[in-house]
Amino acid sequence: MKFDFLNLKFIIGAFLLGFVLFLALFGNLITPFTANKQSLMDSLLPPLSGGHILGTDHLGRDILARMISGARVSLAIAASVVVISGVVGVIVGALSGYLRGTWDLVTQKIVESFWAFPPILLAIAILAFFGQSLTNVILALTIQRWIPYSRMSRAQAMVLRSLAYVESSRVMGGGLAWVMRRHILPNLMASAIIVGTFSMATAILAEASLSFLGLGVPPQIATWGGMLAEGRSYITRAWWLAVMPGVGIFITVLSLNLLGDWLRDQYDPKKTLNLI
Amino acid sequence: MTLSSDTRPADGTIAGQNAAPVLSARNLSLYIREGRNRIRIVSDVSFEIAAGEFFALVGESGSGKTMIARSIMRLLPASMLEIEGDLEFCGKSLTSLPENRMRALRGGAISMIFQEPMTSLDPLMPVGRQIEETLELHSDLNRRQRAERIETLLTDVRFAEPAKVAAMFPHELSGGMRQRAMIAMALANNPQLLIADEPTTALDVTIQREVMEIIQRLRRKYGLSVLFISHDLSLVHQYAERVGVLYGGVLMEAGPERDVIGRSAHPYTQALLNCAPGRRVAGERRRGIGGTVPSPRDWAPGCRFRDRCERADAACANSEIPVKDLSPEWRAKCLRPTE
Repeated sequence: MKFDFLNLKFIIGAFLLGFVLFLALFGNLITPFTANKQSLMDSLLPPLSGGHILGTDHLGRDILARMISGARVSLAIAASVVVISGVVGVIVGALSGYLRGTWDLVTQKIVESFWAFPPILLAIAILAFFGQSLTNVILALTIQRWIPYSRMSRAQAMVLRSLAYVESSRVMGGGLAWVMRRHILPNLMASAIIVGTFSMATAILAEASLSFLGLGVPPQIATWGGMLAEGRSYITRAWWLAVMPGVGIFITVLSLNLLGDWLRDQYDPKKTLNLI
Repeated sequence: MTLSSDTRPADGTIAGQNAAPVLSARNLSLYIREGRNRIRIVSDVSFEIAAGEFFALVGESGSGKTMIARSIMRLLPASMLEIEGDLEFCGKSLTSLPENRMRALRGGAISMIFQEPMTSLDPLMPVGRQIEETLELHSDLNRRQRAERIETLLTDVRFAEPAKVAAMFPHELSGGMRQRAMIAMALANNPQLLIADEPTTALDVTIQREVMEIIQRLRRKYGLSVLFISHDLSLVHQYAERVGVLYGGVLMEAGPERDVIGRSAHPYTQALLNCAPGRRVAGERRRGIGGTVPSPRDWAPGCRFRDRCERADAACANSEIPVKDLSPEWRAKCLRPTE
C-alpha cells in the first residue's frame, strides 16, 4: 500500500487538523490568560485588543484560552467515542457477519432498535437520566455510534468468510478466535479506520450540539458548543463570541472529512492512477 | 474400495491392501437443512482410500463431490449439513469427533486445497507467514525451526528461491505459484490425507500439469493419500489409481482407473467419457449427454440417470437399483452394465 501524501485533500486536512491539535496541546504557550479568569472591566473586547488575540466575552474571559479548552474537550471526547464505539462495533459486527445464525439475529435486532432512535434525542435522554459529566457525554455519544461500524464489519465479514483464504485457515485447523484475529479483523481495519475518521467528525458536531443545548459537559468547562450558546445573545454587538467557536468546529470537522475522503481514495482499489 | 447399497463390511476384498484404510465412507448420506425440511444431496455413498492411494471422485457440477469433501473436514455446522452414515479416518469416526479434536485434525493429519488459488491466500500476509500459521497451530517448533521447515516446504513445491517467495505477498505471485504455495501450506504438518478440491480447474493447462506433477511426486515421497475431486477426466486418467463416479449424489461406478475409465461399464461413465475431448474414436461424432442433471429437489426413486440414459427401461424406475460386482474391486450401480 503506497499512500499518496502529495494529495491536496491530505495536505489541507493534515494542516488544519495539525493546527487544532497544536492549539489543544501547546495553546497555553500562546496566551497568558486562562479559560475561566473573569475580568468584567475587559468584557466584550474585540479581537486584537488589550492583549487578547481573539478578544474577550461578556465576562471578560479570553476567547483564545476558551477556544483552547474547547479544542481539548472536543478532541478528547471525539477520540474516546470513536475508539470505544469502533472497538465494540467492529467486534459485534464481525462476529455477526462471520457466525451468522442466532448471534447475528440478536445483534441485528439490537442494531435496528438503536438505529430507530433520533440520535440527538437518545443522547439527551441519557444525559438527562444519568446527569452531566464527561463520561456520560462519552456514553451518550457512543451508544449509537458503534452501529455504522457494526454494519460495515458485518457486511465485510460476510464477504470474507466465503473467501477461500478464510476457509483455508479453518481447514488448517484455526478456531473462531484464531480466524477472527488473524484474518477477519486485519482485513476489516482499513474500512474501520475510514468509518472512524468520518465518525470522529460527526462526534465533534454532536458534542458541540449537546453543549449548545446545555446538556454536554458541566458548564464550568469551556466548550465550543457552550461558547456558541453564550455568544448567541451577543451576536449583533460582538460577533466574535459566536464566530470563533463556530470557526473552530468548522475547521476541525472539515479537516477530518478531508482526511477521511483522502483515506478512502487511498484504499479504493479502482483508483490506482492518481493524477493530482 | 467398496460401493454398496447394503452395508458391506470393510472386508479383505481390497486386493493388495492389508493396512486399514486412511479414509472410509460407509453409506454416507448428506442432507442440507432448509428451514424445516432437509434435502438429500448425497445418498448412500461408500468408498475407501488406502494409505498412499490416489483416489479420484469424478462428477458433473452439483453431483455432490465437493459436499463430500466438506463433510470429511466438517466445515459446515451440523445445523446446515447433516451427515448420516459413517466417515472414518484411520479407524476413528469423524462424525462423532468433538469440534476441538476435529480442529486438531484439520491442517494436521487431513489437509485440503481449493479451486481458487487467487483467493486462497490472505492478501495482507506474506506467503511464508501464512505457512507459519499452520505450523504454529499444530507443532511446537520454535521460530528458527519453523523458518527452516517453510524453506523445505517451498523447495518441495519447486520454488527456486524459497526464502524470497516466503517474503512475498500473494498479489506478487501468479495463480500457479499460489496454488503451489497452498500445497506447501497443506503439507506443512505432514498430513496423511490431502483433499484436493479441483485444484487445477482455475489454472491453464501447462500450469495444471506442473501442479499435478508436484502433488504426485510429494504423494510418492511422503506416502500421502490423495482424494482428488475433479471433472477433468484426462487428469483422472493420468494420475488416479482408483476412481469413483458420482451422479446426482449417487456413486454410479467405482473401481480401479483402468476399469472405470478404460472399459467403463456404467452408461453414465460412458456418456461422460464420450463428452471428453480427445478420447473419441476417429470418425465418430462427439456426443453430449441429453437433458440436465436433476435437482436434488426433484429426485424420484429409481436410477437418477434413467431420463438421460439410452439403455433405460421401465425396470430402471424401481426404487432400488442393485450394485453389480464386475470384478472384486469394480462395481457399478446399474441394472444392465456393459459386461
